[in-house]
Amino acid sequence: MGLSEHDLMAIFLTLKLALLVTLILLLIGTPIAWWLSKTRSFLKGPVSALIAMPLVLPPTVLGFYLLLAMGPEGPIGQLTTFLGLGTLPFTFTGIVIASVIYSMPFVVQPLQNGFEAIGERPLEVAATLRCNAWQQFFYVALPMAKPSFLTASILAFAHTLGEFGVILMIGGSIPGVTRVMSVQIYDHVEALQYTQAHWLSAGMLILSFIILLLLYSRNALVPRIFGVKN
Amino acid sequence: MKQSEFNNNNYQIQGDIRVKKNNFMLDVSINFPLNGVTGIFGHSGAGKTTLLRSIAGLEAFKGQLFFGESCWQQKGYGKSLPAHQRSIGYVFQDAGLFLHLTAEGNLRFAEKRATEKSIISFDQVVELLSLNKLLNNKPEQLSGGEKQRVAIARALLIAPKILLLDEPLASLGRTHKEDILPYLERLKGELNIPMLYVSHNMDEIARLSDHILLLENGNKLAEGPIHQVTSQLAVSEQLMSDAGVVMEGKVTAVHDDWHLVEAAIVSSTETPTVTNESASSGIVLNKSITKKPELNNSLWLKNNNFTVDKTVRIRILAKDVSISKDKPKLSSILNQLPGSIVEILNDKHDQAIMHVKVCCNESPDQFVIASITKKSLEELALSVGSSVWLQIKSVAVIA
Repeated sequence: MGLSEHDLMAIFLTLKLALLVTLILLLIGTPIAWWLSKTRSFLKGPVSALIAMPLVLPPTVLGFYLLLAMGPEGPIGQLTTFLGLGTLPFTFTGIVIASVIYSMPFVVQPLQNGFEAIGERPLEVAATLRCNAWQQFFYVALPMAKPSFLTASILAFAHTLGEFGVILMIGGSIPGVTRVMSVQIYDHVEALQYTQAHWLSAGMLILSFIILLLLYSRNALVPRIFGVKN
Repeated sequence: MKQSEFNNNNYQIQGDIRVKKNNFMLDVSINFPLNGVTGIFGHSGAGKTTLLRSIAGLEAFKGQLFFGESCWQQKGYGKSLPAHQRSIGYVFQDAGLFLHLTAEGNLRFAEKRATEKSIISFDQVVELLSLNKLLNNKPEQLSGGEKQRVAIARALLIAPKILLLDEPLASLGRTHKEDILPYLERLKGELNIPMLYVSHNMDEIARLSDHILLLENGNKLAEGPIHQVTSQLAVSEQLMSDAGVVMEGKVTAVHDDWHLVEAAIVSSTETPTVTNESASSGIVLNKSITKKPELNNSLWLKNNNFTVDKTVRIRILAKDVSISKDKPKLSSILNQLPGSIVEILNDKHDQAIMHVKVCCNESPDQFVIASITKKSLEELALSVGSSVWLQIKSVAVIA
């Protein structure tokens, strides 16, 4: 086995980051997607555009501004310092926040599509069956949007695995804290350790393929694995 | 209507409802009895569904709404009770079953969420609507009629005080309508639950309703007991080929050899419970029932296993009634009644077909509507007061 202790640490850190980010995104992204699917507010356009920004921006641009905002002079940095948390760049929390913003569109958009596809009728039916707005959401919209939640989770997880630029900008390369797999590979290549780079790269290649295979053959595979009917 | 006029009857659903949408304006006052079936009839775009949705709380409207003693909406855009707090059951035109649940899942959803004691148990409702074999099916495996039966069952299991049905048969073919209508009739007969039934099909309305509201372009054309409304000429003009009086008859004799029964006309479709002393209109009503009817007072009907004293609902379409000056002598038409013309709608000179209201048997509240050509009207020199003979080509027994 060609994996060093640092390599294993990077793998573990990456999985931890991806899981945590996926969970946080589901919690934050669901209400945003629900609001976007229901609202007729003029804010719908601007909010949608803002959330979609990471799709088009170079990760370095996003990373640069996040670095400034989280730094001692930035608004987030001043807030965290005031709360006694110190500043966030070069911490695990820092890269979690950056990743959440970076992967937001991959959760919000499938969920929003899923909620919009349900339409008004099932919610009206629920209303005539004594469900208030919360119950309409939890008892009807949520179960009906199950396939969209699966898509959103897979995309968020996979996208976080593949992050590089934002993490390098915000987190640098601190072993066990911010040095994720992609950064570890970069370091190996910089040090001309091609064998080690191969091990990690091939691992990521296979993992990403499996995850995407799961996503795109959902209709055939996922119901058997997770018991979810699309 | 003033506020004071509301709330004086616990057994009514009353309100003023105004909805403005693009080029459409619904503006009606309603006053429905909270018993039996109230049919809401109108052509498409008349505002029937909007009215029903407003009552259910699914559509914002201006005005007020009272359900018995409880206020569902105060005047203006005032406080409105949210849909989930109104004790209604609602059957949508497209059934609206939850696609992620089985038929049973849909029913259990309602059963669990019922806030009041149910009028009917799960097993009873499954039995009533013959759902036994469908319970494990997903909605996509059900036919249109089966979906509607599940939707009706679901609406009943929420323990509603009133059942609102929005064209439950509209999406079904003709033969499948016949699969559902008997269930609705059973519902009406076996459960003591008021229903509001929206339809653009007068046959369905005539079969089920005791009270009807006619809508036309968002306005109320007529409202009242079905016999009263269907015997209005203005209504007949509007219904055109659907025009026809709905009334009740009571079987007085059964003729097995001819497969026919004789039935006396009961003046109103309202249940004749009026006693002599309670209402002046009831006196006539009562006499017409208790008095042994003479032969020319009764109608011949096809015998559908009827027994004497059975009350049947009949509908006489205006186009099936013809008028002659003298008593026709030899005719294959069984039902011939003497009558006199009480009303001719005179402002419809541009039409070939005229509707004429005739009272039969000289009885002041037994009416039949006849549609005849303008040519016949002039050639027979018919006018209000003319004595005529009615020949009724067919009498539909609708319930």
